[in-house]
Amino acid sequence: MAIGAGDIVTPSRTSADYTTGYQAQPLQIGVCDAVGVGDNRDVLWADGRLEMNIDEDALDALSGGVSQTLKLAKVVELAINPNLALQPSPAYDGVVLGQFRRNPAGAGTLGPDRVQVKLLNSRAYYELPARDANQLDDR
Amino acid sequence: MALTDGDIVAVYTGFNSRFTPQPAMFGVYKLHLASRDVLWMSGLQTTGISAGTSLDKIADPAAAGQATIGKVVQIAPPTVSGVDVQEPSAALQGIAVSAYSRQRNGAGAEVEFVLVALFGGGWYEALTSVITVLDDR
Repeated sequence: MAIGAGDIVTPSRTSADYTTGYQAQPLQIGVCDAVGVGDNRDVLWADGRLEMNIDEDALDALSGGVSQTLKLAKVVELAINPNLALQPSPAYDGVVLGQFRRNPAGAGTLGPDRVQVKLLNSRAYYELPARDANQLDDR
Repeated sequence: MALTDGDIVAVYTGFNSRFTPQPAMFGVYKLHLASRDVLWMSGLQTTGISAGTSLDKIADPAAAGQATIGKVVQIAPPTVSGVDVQEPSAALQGIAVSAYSRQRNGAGAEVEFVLVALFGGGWYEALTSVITVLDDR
């Protein structure tokens, strides 16, 4: 398996040293337009830019989430503080904009469901495992 | 059928509903010397797109989608079989500013969307079927 033409892709965010999910912008989505020599892939990004010869190791293929879903379009609290003794702050709640799985370099190993959350109290976004986003039923 | 010169197009993005940093970029399609080129509304021209399937043809929607334009709308959570219906979240309300259909490579099924400017900032391109017009707003 590898990333092929027509696959929906996003920049990879697999790093041993940076695992926090904060990001200043929503998920950047593109479509693999062509498969080049070796690992090279041409990607047409959603804003119209065509970037040539991106190494597929820098890309993740995206697939829909498995459990579509009780969380999409709902407000969630983010259970992300590593200090489990601390309660999640309601000031850090967000709304789930999308649920998906990442497949690094299209190598055939789909990760667990992830959600993209837009924080309610700031113009910031968070991507995190769906299991760490606790749905608030009445919101 | 496939894309033809003069078609309005957008990049195929696969997902049925998605949050976007800006409204989906539209452009005008031109097949020029066997090269698929798009002049985007931003003025950027992208040349040499390899696959027609990387693009969607944009067209007017059916009346249901048109009727949402200019109204405050609610984006509803999906319904899941066997699970209680979830209340829509007020965090996903906004103004429906546009409605259109997407058709990958100008062939196949047309899928209709509404573009919503969210009150909390940002844009959401949602399937018409998950949009509810709030009548009194």
